[in-house]
Amino acid sequence: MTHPIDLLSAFLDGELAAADQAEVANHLHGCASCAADLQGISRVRDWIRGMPVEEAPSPLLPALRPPRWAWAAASIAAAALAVGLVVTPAQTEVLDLDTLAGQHTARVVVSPGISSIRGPVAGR
Amino acid sequence: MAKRIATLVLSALFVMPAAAGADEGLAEYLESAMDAEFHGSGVVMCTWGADSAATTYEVTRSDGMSMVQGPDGGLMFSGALTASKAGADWYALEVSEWSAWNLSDRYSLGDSTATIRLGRSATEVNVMEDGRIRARLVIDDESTVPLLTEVFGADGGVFRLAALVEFVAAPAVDMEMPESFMEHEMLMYGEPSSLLPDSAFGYRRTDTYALDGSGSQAFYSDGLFSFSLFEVGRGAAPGDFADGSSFEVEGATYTRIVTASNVWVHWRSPERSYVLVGDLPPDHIEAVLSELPRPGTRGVVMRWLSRLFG
Repeated sequence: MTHPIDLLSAFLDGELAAADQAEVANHLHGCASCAADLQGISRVRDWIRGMPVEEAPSPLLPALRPPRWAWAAASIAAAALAVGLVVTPAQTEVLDLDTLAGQHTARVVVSPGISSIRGPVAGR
Repeated sequence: MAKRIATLVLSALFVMPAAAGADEGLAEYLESAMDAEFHGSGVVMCTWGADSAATTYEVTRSDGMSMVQGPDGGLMFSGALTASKAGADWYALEVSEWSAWNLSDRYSLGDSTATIRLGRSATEVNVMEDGRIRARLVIDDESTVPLLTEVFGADGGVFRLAALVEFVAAPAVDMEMPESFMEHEMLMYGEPSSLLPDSAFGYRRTDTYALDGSGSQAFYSDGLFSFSLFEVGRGAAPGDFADGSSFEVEGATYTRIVTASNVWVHWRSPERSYVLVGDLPPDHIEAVLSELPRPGTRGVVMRWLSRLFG
């Protein structure tokens, strides 16, 4: 296999077909150059993820305003609430997978196993 | 180390009774590999059907501490303490207690051959499960670190691959845990759920921890692979699973997410909501799921009562 530079980004995203994914992974075993490129791509993405999110300029905001039907629906909902017609749904518990991943990893690393001997990766 | 691995394998194959000896050799390797000191960088990938994910990571282990750096952040481990970094702050999570580790007798050491990997002397070892290869490890002879780990699914295809592409044995590094943490939480023992079995497909429930609120984390392990089963209120919102893939086990539908290190499965039984996360291969997951509470819905009356009274 020639150096799969064009495929590394899709490889990181897991967007390649399974056979291509395995072929790229096999190539990465023996190619320090491509492995370094892969880490570079990964670091750039990490950096982009860490960039602050800017507020959209004001001319764009009207386009983001809710449509008229949304105001109508909100009015009906408010009226329904006022006359006690709405049954409040049960309180929703949110599954934060990052928290669950942290708790799982914390337990994994105190015992031997296939993941703990290589070092589990942060995140999910 | 070459001698040590050779001794382990030879004792497994020729000296001790097949199953018991093999287990001891593999168990001894897994225990010793946890303490091996090294620095490396590598790639880990996971594939289940059409779903796959990959990531790179760097790992350093020295003086009983480990540091793992990946695209999603950094982790440090020391004993029962795990520290994760978010921005400039460190957050600590400490496991209060845990059960002794045991390796299932379904695993044994298979053939081993000498090889060279990353320019170093290494030994390729097959881990067998009921007569077929479940995993292949390429172990650095000097340090006992696995330079390559491949886990195979039931079809013989690679389910997870972790390969180091840079490696330094016994690095001269000075690692220190952060002096203070923004938060320091303890993972405390909790009551086991009456809905969950003590074991599922050979995975033993070793520990149960209480979650904030009314949930629990049950940790299951067969010594080689492991998973946590989070049991929470049925109304828990699985927003992250919205883009997951559906799959069926014995006619019941589940949702899965594949990440580089883990596989996640979500479902709702009539009583509770479940999230399973672990490193076990797909055929094990399917066998485990068939022994856990099944997906199902509640009747209309129960849904209304739940909405009214929570």
